[in-house]
Amino acid sequence: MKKRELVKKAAAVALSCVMVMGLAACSSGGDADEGAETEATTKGSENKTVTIMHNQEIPGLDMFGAQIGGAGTSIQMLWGDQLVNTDHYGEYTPWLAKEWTMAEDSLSCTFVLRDDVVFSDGSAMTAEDVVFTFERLRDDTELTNSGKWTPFIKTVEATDDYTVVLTFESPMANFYSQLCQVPILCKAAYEEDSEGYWDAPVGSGPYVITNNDAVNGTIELEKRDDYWGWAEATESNVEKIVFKYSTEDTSRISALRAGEIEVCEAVPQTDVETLEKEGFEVVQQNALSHMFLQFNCGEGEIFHDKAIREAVSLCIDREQLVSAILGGGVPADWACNNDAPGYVGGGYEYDPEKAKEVLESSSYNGEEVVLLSTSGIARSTEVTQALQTMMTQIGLNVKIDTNEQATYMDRRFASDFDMTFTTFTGNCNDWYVECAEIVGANLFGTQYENEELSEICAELNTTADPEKLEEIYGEIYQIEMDEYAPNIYLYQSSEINAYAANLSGITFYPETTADYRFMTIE
Amino acid sequence: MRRKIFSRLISTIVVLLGVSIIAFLLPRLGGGDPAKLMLPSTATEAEVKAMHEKMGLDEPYIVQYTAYMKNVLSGDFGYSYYYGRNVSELISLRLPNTAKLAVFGLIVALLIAVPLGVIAGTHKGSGVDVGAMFFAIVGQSMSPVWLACFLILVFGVYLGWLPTQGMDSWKCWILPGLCIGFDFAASQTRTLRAEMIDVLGQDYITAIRARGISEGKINRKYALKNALLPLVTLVGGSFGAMFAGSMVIENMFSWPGLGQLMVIAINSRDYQLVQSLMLISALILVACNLIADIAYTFVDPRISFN
Repeated sequence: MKKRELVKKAAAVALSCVMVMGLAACSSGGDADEGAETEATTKGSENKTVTIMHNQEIPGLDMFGAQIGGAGTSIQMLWGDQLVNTDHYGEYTPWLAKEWTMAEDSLSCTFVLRDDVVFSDGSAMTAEDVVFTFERLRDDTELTNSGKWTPFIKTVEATDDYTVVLTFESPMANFYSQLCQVPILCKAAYEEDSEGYWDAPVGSGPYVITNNDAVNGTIELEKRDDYWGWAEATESNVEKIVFKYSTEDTSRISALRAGEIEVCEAVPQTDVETLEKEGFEVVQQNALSHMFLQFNCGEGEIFHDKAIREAVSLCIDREQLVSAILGGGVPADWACNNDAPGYVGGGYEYDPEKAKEVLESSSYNGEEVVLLSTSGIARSTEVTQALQTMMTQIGLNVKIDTNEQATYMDRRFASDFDMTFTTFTGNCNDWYVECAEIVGANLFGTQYENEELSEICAELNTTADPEKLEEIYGEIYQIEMDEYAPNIYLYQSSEINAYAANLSGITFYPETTADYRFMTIE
Repeated sequence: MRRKIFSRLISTIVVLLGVSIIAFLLPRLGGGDPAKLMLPSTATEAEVKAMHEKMGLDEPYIVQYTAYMKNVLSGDFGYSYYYGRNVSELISLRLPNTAKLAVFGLIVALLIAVPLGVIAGTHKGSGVDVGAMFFAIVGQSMSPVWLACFLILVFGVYLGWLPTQGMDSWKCWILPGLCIGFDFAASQTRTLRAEMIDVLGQDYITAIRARGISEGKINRKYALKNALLPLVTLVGGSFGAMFAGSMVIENMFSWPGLGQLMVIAINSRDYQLVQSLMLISALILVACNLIADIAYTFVDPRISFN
């Protein structure tokens, strides 16, 4: 009996040890073997196939027919070409358009096109295709995402086979940042089969969609040998590109480490060390996104009082948020990113003692302050908890209310919050939408009323001149800094992507988009 | 018999009707505006209103529900604004993937549970019995997320034996199949063990032993059949649940099934897709339970249908 009991106990202990070993095996980050650098291998090198895994599902390929996000834009750059190229920091260079001239009144723009561009069906691109593309944005009422264009396009005319004149109803301040996201469509192919066009769109890009299984999350493209752009830039040797997705960070990172994919987008900070030790290339850069607190400044609301807003701003240690919690990014010191037009810098003081004094002099009486947040923002849990701690230390009674994205958006529009933790991305470093619509038009229920600010924001719609726009942005940011409203900015986030060491030629843009057109694989 | 079948059909219809009402109301009452989610966050009020009209969301709930059910009865499960396709098409593309995973998971679960449960039951107090009980307790308390991470890391990353994603080859089935069947295997090991012990203690088994029949034959021919009876019912219910789609497992392994589709549908407030998925899931569950009940009458002739 004793022997049997001993055997039972030994078996239980042995099985427990297996469990503990399993738990240890599951830990990541710092538990990777110290110094055991290995060369990251890839299964795609033999057949020149690159598999890319991103974290967003892509419901379709028409970026004006659905919200397809940054990953969709990356795919679009492969099958289609735009009139202009961009470095995504506000510089634009010729692409399908050899040159262009914007009128002084910003009400028309003339493009001169290349004459050597061929679509994937073999037909030559002409001005008629450009006209068709932009008229579709203006006229097609089925499109859900063409709102940036529809109110602005007046006429689109082909004056000859390779010249297009676009006229505007009013100056379009974010014209260039939107222009570089419009792929030129093949008019003939679209008219022949408009229903099926978006299953495999005919474009002039370096790759062709060969399998669009967006429903199952896989899109495959194959290289075109007759692409006009190979003469302009280094030709890619990647024959096939496969896009997949997984919303789970662990799954994406594991797939990369197992060699099943060559590129992993949206890498969490906690996995950087492990991937670097295993020989992967990790690209970390400051994103064109910033995180901020938005106040409900309506009459009778807690943050109608400027002093309380100021106290909140003073008590937040932005440097600590970036270094201790995020492990990357840039603490905000102005109402915009430090590389945005209109940036001055040197604002946003951190002084908790002064914050306490300012709060005591305010109308705050200890009421509960609801900080609305969403699980859809990276690290929102940790950041909002840190903010809560900082604000509690000066005497604010803060409650964090985290909602999933749909409910969060509902509450913002309904002004059902005291302050909200949120983010915005300025595509191609263009902040027109944030300034004109979010700040100027009070889009997200801040109820902030400032006549001067509204008038300045309205001026954004009177010009497309970058220098004039920069001046206006500067004035808007100054008011936001002076009034701590409607937003106080916290930090510029960072974006991390990783890829196998046998790849090169990838350009990751700081807005969840990447240029895979000219990559090579060994 | 005909009356029993008829009453079962009526109760099935009532259940599905109830599910359709809940499926209709839940996403609408849960907050979130599908029109706003379909449009850019900076869409104007006029654009949102136009989208509401296009999606039929400006109609009263009863009108929306009636229109939806009318379409369902004619085989049209609605339109997914998120994917820009008919819901029927989406479900038909994903359902086979989930079915494959569910069948594989069930087979794996039974291959583990039946031998382990039987041996544990026939060798009560032995090392195998202790191991089986440990497995049962751990398996039932283990989080499927943890198990998925563990399997991915060990077999996919460190050992490199099995793929961690997708469904390109038969090897892709193993890890998600294990995860999906693990909990069922653990619970059924325990159940089968208890049933074997119970059956082996019955008088008729003692009588059979007294006739000199071997222990092995007693276990296989006389005890096992009776011990398996509860398993028939449990398999029906559990298989239905697996078939309806495991959201967690499918997301962890990027398995393009109904569970993953449901997560996307809920996040994007794709109402008709959510409603139809819930309806289909309920139908699958009901069908599997019905099949289990019918099978039971064949396994045990003492039990009549319903």
